[in-house]
Amino acid sequence: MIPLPAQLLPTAGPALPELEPPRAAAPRRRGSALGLLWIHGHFEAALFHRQQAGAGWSSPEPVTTLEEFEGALTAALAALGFDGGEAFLVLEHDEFVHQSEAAPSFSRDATQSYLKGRVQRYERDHGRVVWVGEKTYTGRQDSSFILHLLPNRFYDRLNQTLLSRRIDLTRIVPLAVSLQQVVNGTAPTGTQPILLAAEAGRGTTILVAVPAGELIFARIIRASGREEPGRVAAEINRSLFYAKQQFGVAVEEVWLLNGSQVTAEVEARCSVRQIVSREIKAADWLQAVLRLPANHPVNLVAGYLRRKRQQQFARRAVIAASWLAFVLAALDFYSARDARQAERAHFADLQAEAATLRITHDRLAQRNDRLAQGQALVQHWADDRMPPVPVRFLRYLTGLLSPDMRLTDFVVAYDGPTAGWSFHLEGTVEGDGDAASDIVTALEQHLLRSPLRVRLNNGARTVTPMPSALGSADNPVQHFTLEGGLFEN
Amino acid sequence: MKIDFRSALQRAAQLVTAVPGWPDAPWPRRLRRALPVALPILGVFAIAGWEFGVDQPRQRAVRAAHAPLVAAETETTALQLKWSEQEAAAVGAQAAKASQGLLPNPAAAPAALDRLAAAAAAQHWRASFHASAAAPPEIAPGSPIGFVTARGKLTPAAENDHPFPTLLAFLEPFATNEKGIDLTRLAIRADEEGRYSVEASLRLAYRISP
Repeated sequence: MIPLPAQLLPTAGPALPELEPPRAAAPRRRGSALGLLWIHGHFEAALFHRQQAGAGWSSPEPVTTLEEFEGALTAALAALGFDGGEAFLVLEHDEFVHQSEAAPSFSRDATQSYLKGRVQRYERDHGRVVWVGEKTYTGRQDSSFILHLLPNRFYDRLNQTLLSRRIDLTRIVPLAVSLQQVVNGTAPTGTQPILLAAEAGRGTTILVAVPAGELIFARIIRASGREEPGRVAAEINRSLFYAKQQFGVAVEEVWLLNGSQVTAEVEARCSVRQIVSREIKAADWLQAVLRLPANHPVNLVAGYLRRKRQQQFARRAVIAASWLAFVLAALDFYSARDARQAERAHFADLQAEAATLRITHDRLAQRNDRLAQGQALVQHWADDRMPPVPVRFLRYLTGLLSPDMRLTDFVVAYDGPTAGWSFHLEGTVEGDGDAASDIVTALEQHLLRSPLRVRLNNGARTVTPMPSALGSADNPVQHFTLEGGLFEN
Repeated sequence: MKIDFRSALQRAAQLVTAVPGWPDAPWPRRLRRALPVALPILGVFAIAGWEFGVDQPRQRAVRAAHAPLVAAETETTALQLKWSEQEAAAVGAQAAKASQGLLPNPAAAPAALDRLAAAAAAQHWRASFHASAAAPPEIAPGSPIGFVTARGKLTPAAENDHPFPTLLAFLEPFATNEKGIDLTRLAIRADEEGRYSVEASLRLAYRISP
């Protein structure tokens, strides 16, 4: 079967008596459930504990209206001692409509849209409904569904009645589902369809299904086998013909549940291979439903329960988020308050030490001014002073002079416009012209390689013989001149 | 994408106020159901209202009243952090060392030159130094140091048998640049008989008072 969403939004319905508001849920006994059977005016309740049937209660009076249901429920709860918990309901009622619909089967979405459209059309005439579609066997390419339609106002009222007694309604299923479960549990498994006629309340439900398979169709007859066995047998016979004509299904086996009064009539009217008559208690029907999961496709409130769980989760999340926001805001507030108090304490300290602060401020300002001046002085002392080039050059040159050389003129001067140093050297060298020139050249090479970064003025270099008064042929003396610049600064 | 705020608000209100199994519950009952959400949210608004409406304006007023003091404290901290104690000590020592080599003013130049002549005499050199009266002191813009130029002549004393080594000894302090006297020109002449004459141009640094 295709599970379909139920339309569970509450709608305004006919005015109903005001109910007591739901009370807070009391601690529940784990594993206990209340089964309710309300079928065509017949009301029964049974208590189940861990899937096992317990005490039961049956209403002696017919129950047809919601007010009567409420009274019967109160009596059942008192008799069974059920003080709240999970409940499920097998329902057949004039308000609970089952409508057969053939739907296009080329896609699941199309099928759902079609069924939704049919439900909306129904709602335009009858008001909002809680609904679910149950797929049935057709034997053809198209799909067939039974739409189970329960008015919203009926459901809300029913649910309120239960909630006010701390009963959480988790399943509402039509009797056909319960009967299918009974068939699946008792009939031999096979591919041969059977017809099942079950008398409940003032009506009889007839369904044709394959054991452990799909439902083929179901009908409800407002007649009881006890009162009108002939009519019931006639309807069973009509159903057999209907199954053969509409679905091509030949039913050879008929099961009569709680219908021993019509066995003879059925045997007389229907040509079937086998007729099985069984007495089934309401507790058995309920137990069959109890085994169904809450998300069973034909459970009318499956969607409601799913949405309810989602809303509960969302609500708890919103509550948790709200409290978390409150706690964070409070923490932030206290943290900010501490910060403000600390700031005010700091202001008070500043106020108390204002005089000291100003003195410290002035002292530091003076210190920094003094240090800035000192730094400027040190900087200018380093930048504006002249390097000791004359003395360094003189000492360096003294170390280079060979014993044959003698300086007569040494001048080193700072040239302001070029911001460089120049030198002029004159002296004598003992030896002939070539030897003296070599000695002077050696001096030049030393100077060029010196750390003073000497640059020689080649045009000013001279090595000339001295006048004879100072030299002789045996001991010649040469006069030399060197000029250049110094790059050290 | 269009958002239906009204519908979203309705759904949120429904989520918060819905009473399970009682779709048409009266408002008092719905409000009671909304309390677990409403209380903390009201608390948040109350806290926010108090903080933004009362506490923060009050704190702003207190801050404004103490702003000058806070500014002074900030400035003091900045002044404190500008120089560490170690840096201040180092700069102070360097400045003191530099100041020691400086003349206090240009008028102190003759006395400094006299001390220089005395130093030459100690090395057996006769020296005469004099400041160049015609030359104005050199002052670079913004510099705390000014200079006075001077000239000098040196000749070895009669008893000086080693003029060149003693001259080097006299000139040695000029090689370290520690004194506030720069040698800008040095001319040494020696004739055939070994007589020396020395001319020197000097620059004496002095401190310009701030």
